[in-house]
Amino acid sequence: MKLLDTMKRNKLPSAVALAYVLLFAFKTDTAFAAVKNSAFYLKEMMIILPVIYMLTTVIDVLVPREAVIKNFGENSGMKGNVLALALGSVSAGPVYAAFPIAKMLLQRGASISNIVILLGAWAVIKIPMLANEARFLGPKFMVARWVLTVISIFIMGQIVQVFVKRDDMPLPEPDAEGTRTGEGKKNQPAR
Amino acid sequence: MDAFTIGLWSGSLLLMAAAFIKSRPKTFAAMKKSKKIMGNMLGDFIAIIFMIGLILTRVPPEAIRTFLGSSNTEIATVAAALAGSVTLIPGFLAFPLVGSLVNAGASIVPAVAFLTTLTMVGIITYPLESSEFGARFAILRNALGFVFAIAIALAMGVIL
Repeated sequence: MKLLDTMKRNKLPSAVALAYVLLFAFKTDTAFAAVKNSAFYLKEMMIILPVIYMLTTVIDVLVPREAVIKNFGENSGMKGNVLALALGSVSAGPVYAAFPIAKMLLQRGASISNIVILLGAWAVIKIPMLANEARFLGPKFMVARWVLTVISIFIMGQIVQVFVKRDDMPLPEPDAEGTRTGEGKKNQPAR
Repeated sequence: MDAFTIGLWSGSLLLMAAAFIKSRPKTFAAMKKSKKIMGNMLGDFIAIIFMIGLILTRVPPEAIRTFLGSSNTEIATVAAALAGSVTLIPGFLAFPLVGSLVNAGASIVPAVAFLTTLTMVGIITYPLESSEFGARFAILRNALGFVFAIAIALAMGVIL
């Protein structure tokens, strides 16, 4: 039963593991090809994950809550949007690598629109990728797509902000001065 | 490692050093907190990666070429946007692929729709996004990403 519980809590990993087990059993060639394809992405992630870990930690220590609220919060306005865009643009790695950073910023008072902008920029706008795009599709194509994407991401941020409230999100209680207090302890019922 | 990644590594290491200088106990506490945030996601990260590998064996980039090159632009655009939503191909593969198509005379509208949903919409990452930020957030963000990708593609068709 314990295994079943673990699987229920980790639906995606369990489903993928199951798919691979079946594939190895019935279509071994495809399974090996899939593992080989995955290796590239695994490497990409292993390189960037420690950076994400360090940045998530650093935000918590060096950036005061007030600074996050002021620069990324509900009232940060256009400045906050531009900052979120800039932060996302100097990123590397896949968009889901941004999730820990986005979550830390949310917990420290960033607005939802800025999180949408950060994730959007992280996904679409990458400096090395822009160079690549210009090379294969021409600078005009790259610039036009960049401008349109930035506009879209800004509008998306505003729309999501209207329809999604913080209560809709599974966030721990905002940490008042809370980096030191183990919030895990607070939220868990006593055993 | 490319220069950009090295830069990110150096910057992060410097910031970590600054954090330790500022307050060691605070940094250790923050490291614990980050570990907790990331620990929850790590299993899904790895699952996502292996799923990408699996999808790429079933839908190789060459197959996407057929989608994008189709003569019916409307259908091709929607199909390309859908293909971009379920796949996660790295840019250094996607750009040459799309570039060769566009240079061969294919419409850029489906090409842009594909390139944009490729990064802006993530069906594979949806379960993780939903559990970390809530279903409302994840659904709305991805749905809007899809709509805007098509809008961007149409606008590009007009501009270029």
